[in-house]
Amino acid sequence: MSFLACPREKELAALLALGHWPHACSAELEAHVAACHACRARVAITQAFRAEREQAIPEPRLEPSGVLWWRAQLRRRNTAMERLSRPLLGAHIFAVVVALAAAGAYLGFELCHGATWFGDLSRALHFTALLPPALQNSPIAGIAMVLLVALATLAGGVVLYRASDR
Amino acid sequence: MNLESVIPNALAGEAPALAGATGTSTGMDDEVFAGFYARSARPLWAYLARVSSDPTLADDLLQEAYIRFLTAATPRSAQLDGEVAARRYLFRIATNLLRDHWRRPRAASLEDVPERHFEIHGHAALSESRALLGPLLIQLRPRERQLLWLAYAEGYSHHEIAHITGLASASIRLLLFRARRKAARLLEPPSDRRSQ
Repeated sequence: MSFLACPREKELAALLALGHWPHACSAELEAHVAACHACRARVAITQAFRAEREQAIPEPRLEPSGVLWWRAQLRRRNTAMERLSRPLLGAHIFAVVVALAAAGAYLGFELCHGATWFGDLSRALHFTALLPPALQNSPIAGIAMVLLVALATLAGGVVLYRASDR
Repeated sequence: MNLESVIPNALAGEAPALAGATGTSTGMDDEVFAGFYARSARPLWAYLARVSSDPTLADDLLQEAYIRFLTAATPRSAQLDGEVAARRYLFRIATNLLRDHWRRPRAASLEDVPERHFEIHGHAALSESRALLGPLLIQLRPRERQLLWLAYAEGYSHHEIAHITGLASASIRLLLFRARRKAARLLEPPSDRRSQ
């Protein structure tokens, strides 16, 4: 299927592309274009768009090429840095998850086997002194203190990480 | 702070390369790029400004297109075929940026519109008054403006337009035929239009 309304449009398009229209073409073709609606439309559109392009070419105030070059280099470097830091972040997350899982498993194991050293440890380190007097002799005081210290350590780590990230 | 104090010779187009021998994946060094930029920037701006009808947007997209051109992994064909292919690749990047801009959701309320938006309209109106084809381009759809500009202002073939716009070559033929028919009708004097 052809979308050319006139068989001579191809010839005319080539002349227009080379800039040979209208001065370097035959009088016969000129007469044809004057009579042919499709060819006349092609000439009108091509000339209108070319004139518009010539009109637009001097309009912009361009940035110096060096600035664009430098910004491209900067973006390349930033992209490379991001690409590098992505697996590092993954490794950090993996390490934290493994450490937490190990700690949880160990605590679970100790609790299942009736570990009494939790209470002894907190008493030996005088952690219970930080608790209200009513709770100091409670059987869960030791475990509560250990959990409290673990939570404080974890929160401290998170705060430190966020601060260094910023 | 003066730019020259941060980047030596940046304004003269001699900014130092931060990575690699040529500093880009296009295989261009800064001097070759400066020449390429000087030859291609104004036609690319004209394309962006006339297709989008917004010169300020054209300024932004032009810079972004060159930065992406320099940072992207250029297809091997564009490296081998020289400046013509590099230019075509640049137009393709600019076309994708235009498409992304049109797809982006617009601001919902007047409060969300930044102050500079109002300046854009003033500038655009000024430019439209300078544009010869202003009234015609406004009546065409963006896709039609794009195809007509690439075919008749830039002189690209159907195959090249297909490469730039990402459409099939056969679709280009049909879309361009329709756009041209519409543009021809709009270019005719009103008396001729009535007589048909």
